[in-house]
Amino acid sequence: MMVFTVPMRLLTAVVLDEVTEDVKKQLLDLGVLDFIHLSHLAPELSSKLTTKGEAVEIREYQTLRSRIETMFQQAGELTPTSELLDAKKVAPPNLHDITSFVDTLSDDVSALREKQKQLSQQKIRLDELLSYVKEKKTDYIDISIGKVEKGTNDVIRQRFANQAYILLEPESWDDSILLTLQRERNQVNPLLENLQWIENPDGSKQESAITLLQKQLQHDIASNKDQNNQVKEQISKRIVVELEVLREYWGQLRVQELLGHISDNFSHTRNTTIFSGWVPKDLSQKVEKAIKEASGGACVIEWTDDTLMPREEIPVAVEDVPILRPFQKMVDNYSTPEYGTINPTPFVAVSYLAMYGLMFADAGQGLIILLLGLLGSYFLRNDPGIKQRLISKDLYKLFIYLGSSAIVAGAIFGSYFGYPLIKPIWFNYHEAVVGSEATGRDVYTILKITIWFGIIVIGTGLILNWINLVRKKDWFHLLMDKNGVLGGWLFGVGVWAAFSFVGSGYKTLPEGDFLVYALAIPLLLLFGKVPFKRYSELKAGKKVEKKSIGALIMEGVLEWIVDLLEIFAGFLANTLSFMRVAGLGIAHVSLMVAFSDMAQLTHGAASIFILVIGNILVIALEGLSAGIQALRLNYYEFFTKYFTGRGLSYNPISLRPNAGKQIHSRT
Amino acid sequence: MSLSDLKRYAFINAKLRSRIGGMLDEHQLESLLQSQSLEELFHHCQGSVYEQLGPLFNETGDIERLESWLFSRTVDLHKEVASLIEGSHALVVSALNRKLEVENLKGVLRLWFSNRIKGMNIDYRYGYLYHKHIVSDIDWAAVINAEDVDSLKETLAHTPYADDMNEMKKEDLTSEGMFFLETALDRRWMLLLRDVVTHLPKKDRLLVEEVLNRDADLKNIINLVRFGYVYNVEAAKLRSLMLPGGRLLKTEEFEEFVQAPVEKRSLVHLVGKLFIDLAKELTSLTNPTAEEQASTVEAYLFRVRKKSYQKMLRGYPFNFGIIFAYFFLEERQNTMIRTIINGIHYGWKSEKLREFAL
Repeated sequence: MMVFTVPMRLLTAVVLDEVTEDVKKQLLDLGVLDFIHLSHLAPELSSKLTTKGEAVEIREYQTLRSRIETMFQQAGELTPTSELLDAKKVAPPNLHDITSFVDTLSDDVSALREKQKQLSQQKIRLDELLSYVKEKKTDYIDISIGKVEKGTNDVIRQRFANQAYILLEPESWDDSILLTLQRERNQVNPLLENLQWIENPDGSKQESAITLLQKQLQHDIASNKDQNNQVKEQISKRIVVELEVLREYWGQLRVQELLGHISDNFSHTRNTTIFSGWVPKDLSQKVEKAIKEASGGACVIEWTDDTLMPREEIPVAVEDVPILRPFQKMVDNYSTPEYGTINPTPFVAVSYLAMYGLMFADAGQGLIILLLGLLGSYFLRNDPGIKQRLISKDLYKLFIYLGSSAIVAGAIFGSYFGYPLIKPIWFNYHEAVVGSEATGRDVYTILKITIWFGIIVIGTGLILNWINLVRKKDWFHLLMDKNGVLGGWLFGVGVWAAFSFVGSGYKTLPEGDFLVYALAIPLLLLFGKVPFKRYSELKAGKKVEKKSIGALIMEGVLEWIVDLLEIFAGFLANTLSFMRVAGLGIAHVSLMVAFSDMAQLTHGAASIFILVIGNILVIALEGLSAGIQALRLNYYEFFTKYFTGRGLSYNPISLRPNAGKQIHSRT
Repeated sequence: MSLSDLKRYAFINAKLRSRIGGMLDEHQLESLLQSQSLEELFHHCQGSVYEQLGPLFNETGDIERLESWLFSRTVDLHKEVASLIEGSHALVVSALNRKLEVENLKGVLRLWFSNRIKGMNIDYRYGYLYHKHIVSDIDWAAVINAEDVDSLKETLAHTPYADDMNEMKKEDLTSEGMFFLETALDRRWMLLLRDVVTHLPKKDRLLVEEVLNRDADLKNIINLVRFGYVYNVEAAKLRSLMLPGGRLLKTEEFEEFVQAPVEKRSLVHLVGKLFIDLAKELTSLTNPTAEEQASTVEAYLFRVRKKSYQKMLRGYPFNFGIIFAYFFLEERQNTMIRTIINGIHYGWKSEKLREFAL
């Protein structure tokens, strides 16, 4: 596994126009070239070259592809993936045919949707009637019991088609029951008069009529739902029969869209095509071979080493290690590392899990989190249709790691659902918190452990920063920066002095002159930061603003004061910030003790219930809290020491959706 | 910054800013405008706050249900904001929410009018309106089912709209339609709002009053164009249509406008002193119709509001501005979505959609 970002090479190639299409397809199939337009690399040259604007066509491809994806969604099918496509074998799309096909399909679906709309309106009528019948709002409804003298009930059904009504013909009744809205009397009454509706004067039937109407309305609503489901099924079926064609069209459009993006990066002379882009060094031979194959050898390929290009312009890829993907996401969420520097992912993995374990040290609860992670992963694997957003397979993988970390820490500190069921490997954390630990360890011991842990994390961050600066040959910052050697030295001396002070019972600092010299010499050196920086810039031929001696001294003094504050206050705050690890751990114990005490006040099932609820609450609240705090410590205390986040992410044009993220060093 | 401001607004400011951050961005909006069918539109809404529109449409195929959902969502969001703040501030937010209640009431009354006064079949349409509690206790079913004007007044007797309802006569309704009742309800809303605004602490009060005064002025100008020109409404009636507050009603130009015969009413003269930029815009129109002039004022009002709410978002975070800005952005986005849904339904091309939606 590579500790640093993936080394890159810059490709510049010239091919004959007649083979451009084949070259594009080869490059798309490889999917490793992060293109740079020549206008960026050589602006003066690019003005003499031509480009072919394909933006409009690309937009058309995108729009049509999006319409097709909508069809998949309506049919409840997964959108196809371009990963399995072969750009060389996919036929170019015929926009006219595809548009016409999609239009026809859309029209058919729209016609079915119209039926659905009518059902929706019918449901509104039924719902309103049912609510009034149920609540016996007789002011709002008219219940007529009687029969038509002239014509049949079918005439009523025909004429009331666009109204809220129910017409019942109970088997054992001579009469029909007609339910309408009172507010629609203006429309209902004239019709009933026309049909010579004879109302039955027997009022005793009203109650039974209401019961019958309620049943009928419920039945009609259920039937409306069934009909709606049938329409939805028809829509789905209409699309499903065309799925194969849709998949083919989707593939054609996707490939053409990506080829269009590649074309956008091409420049042309009268007979040749010129393009350029970054490729991971390990893959450069493969790319070269592919271009030569596609062009039949009629090409000129030139590679430029990364050392010859400005570091900030080189895209950054990190090696993909599948087991570390959850931690890679944490890094991506923060920013992109600078080219050629350390990939923070493995370090985050270690520090995050260690922090989590210290804050959530319980083997039993860790086992629950582990099982949640395993179950989630299992369900996601067996149902690829589940949408993965916040809850993704990487999150479940993280649960597995966090659960494992809590189990290990729980075994070290002897905690199993808050009880010391097995002898701890190191010491009993619970007893230390409540002050009954056999060897006299207490909360101060825990605080001390977490402070040492913080010092190790910060120290590691500083060392990683020095490695990065050496690789960047940034000697000035390596020596003078607050996270450079001088800053690190002062941090080390501070830690030594602080522990000596605590060791003396908060009475004296270390004796002798060493402390004075250890602090004074770097502070004096730090005072030379501004003149040294100015001298370096002048030597490097950079343009430096003219300043008087007085202004320079003032600037030097001010910067020195700011640096002192940042170094002393900053490192102190960073280190003490790790006490939250102890805080969370202690809170965890306190909560478990509280639930245990509450459980002891009861017996049997009630006691078990309290313990179960307590554990669930602690897992949900403390588990989340520990996860967030560990992330915060990594982002603010660890990353700020060495991770500038000024990198440019690597984005090759590829058929694989995550091509820029999943780089394997030996692909 | 006072501690009470911080305490009151810290949480709501963070919450509303996070909601504003979750609104559709330019890129998403562009995708929505490019949609050629409703299904595509909902496909692009995935992952946004409008994601539920897609499943709802799949379930019903009914765009009016989508509009109901949008309204219902707005009511819920506004009520939630009111629940996150206390005291006079909560009263003001509730009073602002009353605007939604007034709009819903106007919708129900329009249906009632069509049904009872015009004798038309309103069929399922009442089902699309909001039936739950917003601010006042209104039995919406009782309103829509009221047999006559007196019963209608009875259904709203215990609400703040009772006085406006009591002034309504069946003859006026028959001859003039719902318009005057609707403007009376708008005025009632504004009066109720202004009443609670007076209880706010000074800084918030001044901020809210400034917004209300400006809105009242420009809305009054729009009404003066529509009814002063097109319908030639006489001076007294025209005055009664005006929303309270603002500076316009106190000016000589306003008096001159309402008193003058239609052909002598000058909009440029009316707005010249208070809104110089608007006057310039109106002058630049060649032979404008009343509708064009009203559209120009509406566009101006929109721009001014947008600018002022953007300023509030960028400015001091612990005041009422964040709530105003959130409501404005929420309303604007909902209107855009509603316009796009209707536009696509009626087969508009993306250029026309853009023209109406943005």
